[in-house]
Amino acid sequence: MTEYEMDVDDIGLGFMSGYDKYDVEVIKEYESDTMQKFYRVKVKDYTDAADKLQ
Amino acid sequence: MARRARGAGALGNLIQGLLDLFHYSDKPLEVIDPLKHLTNKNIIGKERDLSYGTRLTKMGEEPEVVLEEYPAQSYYGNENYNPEIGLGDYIHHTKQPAEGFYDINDDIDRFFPIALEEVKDLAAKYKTELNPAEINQLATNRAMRYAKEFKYLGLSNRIYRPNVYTQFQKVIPMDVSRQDGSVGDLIEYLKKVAGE
Repeated sequence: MTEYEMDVDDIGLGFMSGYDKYDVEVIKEYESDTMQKFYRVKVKDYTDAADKLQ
Repeated sequence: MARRARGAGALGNLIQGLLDLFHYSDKPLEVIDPLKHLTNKNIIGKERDLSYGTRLTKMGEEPEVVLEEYPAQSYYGNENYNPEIGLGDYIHHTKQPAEGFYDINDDIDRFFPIALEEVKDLAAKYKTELNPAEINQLATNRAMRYAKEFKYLGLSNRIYRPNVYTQFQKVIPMDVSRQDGSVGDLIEYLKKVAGE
């Protein structure tokens, strides 16, 4: 398992949610300079190079 | 005006499978153009970060291979969306078929896992070390691009942000109003649209 943080927007937040191999926790919600919502998320990523999500 | 779809109108749309969508800006727009969003040099920071390419080949190596996956898209809220202060006073209204939007939570066409494997394969092919967050971001952007190539109108995120939609294509709004209900320079806008 790898753990990392990344910034995603409203839409980017969603793709990982459909897959068991990601645990996503929103740690900060903020607005960009153009008032678009962004999220700093902590991702627990249970995939690896040899692992398929399918 | 733009919010008139609430109530009976919204129910009618639901029956027809139509969504009322609203795009906000600080001036009236004749066309809501996703490309304008990303090419606007006033937009800095996170939005632009999304669209930046990722180089897979080493600097100076030819041919240069850069992954530019993020498809330009414009953002819309539905009638339940509560706009953040500062998004702009002008509300552009459009109706779109609900079935045209790809729900990324379901990912029924499995775009994300396919994109993830392809990004990993490309990184291996070009011997590029990407960290897990970069791989994830590139795969997300590539999966979005697949939704566009499969002719979806745009994306929705039913679980996390059920009131937000994006659209890949230019949209001519049905009408434009101001949040405070005033018409202001909308008359000029309407004249332009009418070609006067």
